[in-house]
Amino acid sequence: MKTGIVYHDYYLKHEQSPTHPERRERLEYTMDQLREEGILEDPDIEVICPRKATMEEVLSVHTARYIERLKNMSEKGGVIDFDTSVPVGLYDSAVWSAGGALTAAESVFNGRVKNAFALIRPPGHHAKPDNGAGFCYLNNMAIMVKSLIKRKMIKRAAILDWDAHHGDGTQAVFYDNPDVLYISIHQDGRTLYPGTGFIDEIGAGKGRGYNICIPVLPGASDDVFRLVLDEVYIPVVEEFKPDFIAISAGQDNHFTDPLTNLALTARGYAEMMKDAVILSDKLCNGRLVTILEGGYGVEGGLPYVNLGIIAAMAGMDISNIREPKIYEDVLKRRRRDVIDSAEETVRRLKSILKDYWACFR
Amino acid sequence: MKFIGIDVGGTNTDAVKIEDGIISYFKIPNEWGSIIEALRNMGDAETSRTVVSSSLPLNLLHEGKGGDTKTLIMAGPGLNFSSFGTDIKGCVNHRGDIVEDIVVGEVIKELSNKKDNIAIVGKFSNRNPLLEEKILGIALDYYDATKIAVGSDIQGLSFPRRIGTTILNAKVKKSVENLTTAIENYSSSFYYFKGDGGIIPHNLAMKKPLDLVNSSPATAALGAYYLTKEKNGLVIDIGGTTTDFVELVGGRPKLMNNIVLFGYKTLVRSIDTWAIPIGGDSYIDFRSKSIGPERRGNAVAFNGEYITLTDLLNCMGEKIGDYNRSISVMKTISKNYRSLAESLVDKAVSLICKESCKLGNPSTVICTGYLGKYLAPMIGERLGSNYIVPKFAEVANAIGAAVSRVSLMLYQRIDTERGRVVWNGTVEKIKDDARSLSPEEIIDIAKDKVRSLAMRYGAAEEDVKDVDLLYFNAYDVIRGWYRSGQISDCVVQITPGISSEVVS
Repeated sequence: MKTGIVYHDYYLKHEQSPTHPERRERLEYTMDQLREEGILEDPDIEVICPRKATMEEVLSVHTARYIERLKNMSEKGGVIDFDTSVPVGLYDSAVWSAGGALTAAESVFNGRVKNAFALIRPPGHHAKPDNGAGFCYLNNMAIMVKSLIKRKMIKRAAILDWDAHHGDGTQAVFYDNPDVLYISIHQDGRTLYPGTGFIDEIGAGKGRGYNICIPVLPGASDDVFRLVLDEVYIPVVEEFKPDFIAISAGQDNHFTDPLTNLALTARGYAEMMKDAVILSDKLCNGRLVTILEGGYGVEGGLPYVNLGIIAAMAGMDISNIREPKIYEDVLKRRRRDVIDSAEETVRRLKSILKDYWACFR
Repeated sequence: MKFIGIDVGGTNTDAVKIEDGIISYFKIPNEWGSIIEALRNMGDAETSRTVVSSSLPLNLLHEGKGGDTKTLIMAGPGLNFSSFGTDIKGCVNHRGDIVEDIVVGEVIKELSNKKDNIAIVGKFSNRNPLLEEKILGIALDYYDATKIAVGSDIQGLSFPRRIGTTILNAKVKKSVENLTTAIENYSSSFYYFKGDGGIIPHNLAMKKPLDLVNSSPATAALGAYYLTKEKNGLVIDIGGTTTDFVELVGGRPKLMNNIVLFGYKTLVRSIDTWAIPIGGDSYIDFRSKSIGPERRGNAVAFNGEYITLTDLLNCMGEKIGDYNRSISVMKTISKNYRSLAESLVDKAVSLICKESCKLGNPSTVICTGYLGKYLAPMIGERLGSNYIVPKFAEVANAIGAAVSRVSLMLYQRIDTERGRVVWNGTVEKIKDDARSLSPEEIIDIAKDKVRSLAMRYGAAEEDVKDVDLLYFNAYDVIRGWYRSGQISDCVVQITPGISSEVVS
């Protein structure tokens, strides 16, 4: 079966300000790379046109008051926080973006494709029910998952958020929800926005144990992410038995990203995706949706990281997803040997969560 | 000024001269050197504008005689392309920056293992040809220049298609060179007709020989429009070997991007054309009552040995060539030779009509080519369509070649942060670094460039007035919250069509 890529030139329209880093280049360069690789013509790939999210779908996650305020600001322009302004026409861009996530999921559930990558912007994982933040306005991931549950297409979803920033918005939406497992690997909150996502943030009420945060230190590379996947993500998801796997894919862990300090490689990304695909095959008939979040290394890794992820989703050969020579020194400078600290974090995390997960006992 | 058009079809070479609107022509059978003979007969080629339409050099691809091609690719990070060729070190990224250099030792090792010709292709080499040029420099010690093709001569994104196109170019370059050298003895500057309906100076065809593919049906479309001024309809060009179909829309042949050729996906743009192997010389098999696809030689009416479609028409009352000879040979095959001929011709017409309806039933058909005028009434009646047979229909192809404009296409990428502009794979520096150009300015730069190139190649000023914008995209480059430059892509083309010099 095919892998879907949800994309439309609408996603190039949004611009917070002429110099904001969350900008159209992110998708322009990725699309250039995809066209050059010939992947859009591949029989295993289908490019899918998105729809807009409806008001009802948006209100399933966000408060009416916030949406009213966002719509008003979209008329004349406004500001949410230091990094996040509302340009004129933003609301339209945001519902196209959320609609892209919904289209990706619908294409998987109606059998058009096996899995899908929503190549959308603006991103969403910092958007909370009552406010936007960190370049995000509507929580695309949360809107998609809530809609699937509401329409009874799924009962349980497992979200992996590998953006370098903690997805505090998505976490807030599902913090007390035992049907949505939220696992985030991110750069330690003491060193990066939004400053949250510590290992003791484990969910609340019935949702206790279903929110898992794994902060990693600056310089963390493929070995650390490998460890987290093997020791935490894979065993927990296997135990959770979701009927849908979703990934908030921020490509800002790459060692060329200018806004963060992690050191993942393109191959590391592709390998993570490969594991997620294997897991989805094993647990939920391959149903998997990837949603683009951050990733600002437009000059460096972003285009071929996105390519590697799509290739892994489509089951293509990823042996040539590698770094070019010129970046070898950059990687050397960025990478730190932080595996010991990561092992310690995982050990402590297991101890905190052992009452909730048999695999940690 | 005189306009000479020469079209090499499957059977005949047609030559046309248009002088002050007066058309004269002759046909000669295809043989090696028939183009040269046509040119010699036309005389004073140096004072005329000569356009040659021939996909003859590409025939060796049909015959699988393009030789073994060594394919060196620089895939860099990404999908695995090793099934296309040997993946060597070297990488240009999406911005056109070199992010990995070649390793000379590795290149030499690969070059030492020689084949008949070589294709050198890098990912994103259309945005920076430098690495390919470096390898080309070394390869010239191992291969003749006419045996080497590089990817940066081909425009547009798609690495696998660039590889396919470059491999085919490597196989036919030598054969285009041979034809070009032969013609140059009679006309030092001439044009080749391209499959997209435009013409290019002969030396440019050396870089992109595959552009000559489909040139014959493209000339038929342009010729049909010139002769009838009919803007919309289906051109049915019935030649000696094949019948070609081209749709005219708004006075231009319909185009297709990225066609598949000889089993390779390519970046070649060409008219949307299709063909069936039925023509005047189609061999008739009386046992199976089939027409074509084989061609065993000329019709009996032209001293051939076997009855062909042309001979059948003679049996129905036409007077093509030595028609009495057609009839007398047919009489030896059947007493009811006339009704036999009618039923077989009807079969041919029905096959042509079936193909004519591929895109829906055409309201107007324009029949050209060797047999166009004889079959047109039958085709028109069967399709229920309006049919037109223009005067000079039999040489519409050569006329199309003679009257066409120079219609260059230009791919422009301006990267002001890097201070460079790439025009059809050639990099030049720009002065205005980090200055933001307005869309109008960017498009004007491209239009001016394509106009000046076309005029340098001999286009009349009047012909370069209309330039089509085929693609435009521009955005700012931001680094650390500051604007550091602008990237723009723009594709323009001189509107293809009839040269104003011929019209006047």
